[in-house]
Amino acid sequence: MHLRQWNFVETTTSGQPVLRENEKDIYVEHAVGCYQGKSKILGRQKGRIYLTSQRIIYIDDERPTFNSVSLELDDISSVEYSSKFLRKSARLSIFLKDLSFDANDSPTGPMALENKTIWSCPICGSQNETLASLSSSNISSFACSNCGIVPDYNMIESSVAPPSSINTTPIEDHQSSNTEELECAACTYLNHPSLRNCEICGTRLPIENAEDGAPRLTDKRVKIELETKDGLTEGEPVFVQLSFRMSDGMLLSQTISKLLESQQREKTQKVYNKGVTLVNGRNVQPKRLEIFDLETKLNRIGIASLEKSQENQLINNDIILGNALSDLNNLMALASDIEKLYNTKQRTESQKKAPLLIVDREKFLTKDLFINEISRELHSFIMTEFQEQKKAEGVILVSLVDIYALYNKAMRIGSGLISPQELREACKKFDELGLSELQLTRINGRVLCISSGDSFGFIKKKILDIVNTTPGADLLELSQQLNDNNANSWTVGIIMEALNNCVNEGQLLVDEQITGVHYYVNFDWRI
Amino acid sequence: MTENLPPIYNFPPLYTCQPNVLIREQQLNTWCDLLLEYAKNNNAWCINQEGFIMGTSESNNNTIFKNESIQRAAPAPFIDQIWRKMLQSQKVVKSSSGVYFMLWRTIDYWSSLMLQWFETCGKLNQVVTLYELLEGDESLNWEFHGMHQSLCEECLQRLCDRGRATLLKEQNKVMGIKVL
Repeated sequence: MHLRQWNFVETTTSGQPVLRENEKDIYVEHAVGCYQGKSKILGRQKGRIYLTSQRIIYIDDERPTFNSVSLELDDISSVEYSSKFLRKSARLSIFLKDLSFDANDSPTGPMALENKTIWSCPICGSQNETLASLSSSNISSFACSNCGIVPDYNMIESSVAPPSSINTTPIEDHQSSNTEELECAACTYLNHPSLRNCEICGTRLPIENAEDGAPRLTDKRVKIELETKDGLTEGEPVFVQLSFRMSDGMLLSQTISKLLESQQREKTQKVYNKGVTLVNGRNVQPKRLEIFDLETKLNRIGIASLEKSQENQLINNDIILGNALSDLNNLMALASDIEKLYNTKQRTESQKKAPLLIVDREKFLTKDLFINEISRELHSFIMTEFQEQKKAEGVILVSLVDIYALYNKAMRIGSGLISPQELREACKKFDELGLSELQLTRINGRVLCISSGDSFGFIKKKILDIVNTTPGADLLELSQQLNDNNANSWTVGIIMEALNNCVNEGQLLVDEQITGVHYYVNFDWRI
Repeated sequence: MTENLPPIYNFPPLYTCQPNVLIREQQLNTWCDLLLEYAKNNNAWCINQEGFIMGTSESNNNTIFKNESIQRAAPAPFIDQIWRKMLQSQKVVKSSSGVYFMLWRTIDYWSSLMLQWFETCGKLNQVVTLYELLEGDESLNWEFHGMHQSLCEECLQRLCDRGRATLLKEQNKVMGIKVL
């Protein structure tokens, strides 16, 4: 059986999950195996658990791009921790919500019905609310709150709205649109029904109704194969387990249960579009304008009251109009800001970036695990940072000093800088972690560099070609020619090292002058 | 003066001491060949430490270690290295006064060439002064004409060692020679 709660996770090539917008990572647990029910899941027995603000993500150590899965925190009803016992390692059982039940308690929002009847007074025209349903028999007990005259039922019959009809129509409307597209609570974008998060802002979408009949599409990229039967039966709570092979997993379990708790609270707390009265011209809140509430408290009757109410109405209209105009101004200003932002954004970068993992020291139990994570992050950082060079030249060669400065400045500010020692250790781990595209090399026996393939041989060959065509070239000219298309792919330090290497191996000859060192290809004095 | 030298003389890296040991060895060999070629072309029997030709009447103030056409000059420590290499490979003999005698032919070659001269000119069994040998009209077309006197003494000493000649000395100075 394939649980629908398992979702596919996109990962980077270096084995880090790609986070959604608004998603933050909280904790990382190493050496974890996954169980569905009581059975092991094949191919998911050694990996890392990334706990984020939205998901529990399992990243497989061996095949991170294929075997990684995630569970939505929203799908989890509760967790239960069982400690290590004899040969049984510590486990965390995660009980999942049964998706079919969810439909019933899906929130209907602030539109809860109140049994009110609304009618308008035939004399003064103001609208009245009564808490009971009106009929010709009990009309005598409801006087108009404004003018104090009890109307004839026949006269107000046409204006009486039965309690349900006013309030429920918009709701039904709302729900029917839901079946096709899901409206995001935060930005009101209508998403495709199979999406669980808003396409635009990444907010979690409300779980759609199971009554729709059609079961939710399962992701074909997730393939779960079990070792034995999982022992899950219909009607029983569905659960999966995480087994901690190395640590006791206590910290993760506590964090998850805390997170679940706070999420419950947040859900009730956070109501988007709070205080909104109209959406697309439709009344969302059944609450009437405040003037009527006010009037009922005046307790005046007759002409005086009518005059007073007229006055109030005029004042209120004034206020509303004033508010509306200032709101409109604000809106226009906001719109022009957005337009400006859009224009600049469009030119510089078309693709939006997913938030980055925050690799924090506190999330890791041992230094080793931290270094591993740094190594992964470093790998993907270098691969993206030097993407253009890789595309243009096919190789990457950067000195460790440059990497240190770049990485610390770009990625580590706010999450704690890393030391040169740690950087070097992280670079040494590339091979061990299966990140074979880059390796740590030592050129000229002293300078440590990050390179891909035989990049040092490549740059040497390029330099020899240039010196061949322009004998007597110096460092400045070489670096200009190497970086001719305005790409700063080859730093002077690297070129200098390559030149030194060529001279030491006898491929180049030096001519030292006051103006600088000039290089010549060695034709005469072969070794 | 330096016109007939091979084109490598105008190669700028020649004037910089190459850092690679193996390359430098070959560079020094190139310098040795250049110096001998230079000496031979200009009949420069002795050259001083700085590379000026000694003992010629015409006043020239250019040294082989400086190339005006490409604006390059070998630094002094490197020149020392070149002379050391020359001495080591016995291409020069250093005199007591600090100048170098250029041996574009070996001393043995010179001594046998002189013996040949004695034989062809019929000067056997008679005393010949060094001046006659080196500056006289009869040796005008011979390669050793104009040789420095001390170098010549060196060559004649070889003949004595072989028992073919006796040196006539006056006040410890070689004045004449008699070849048997």
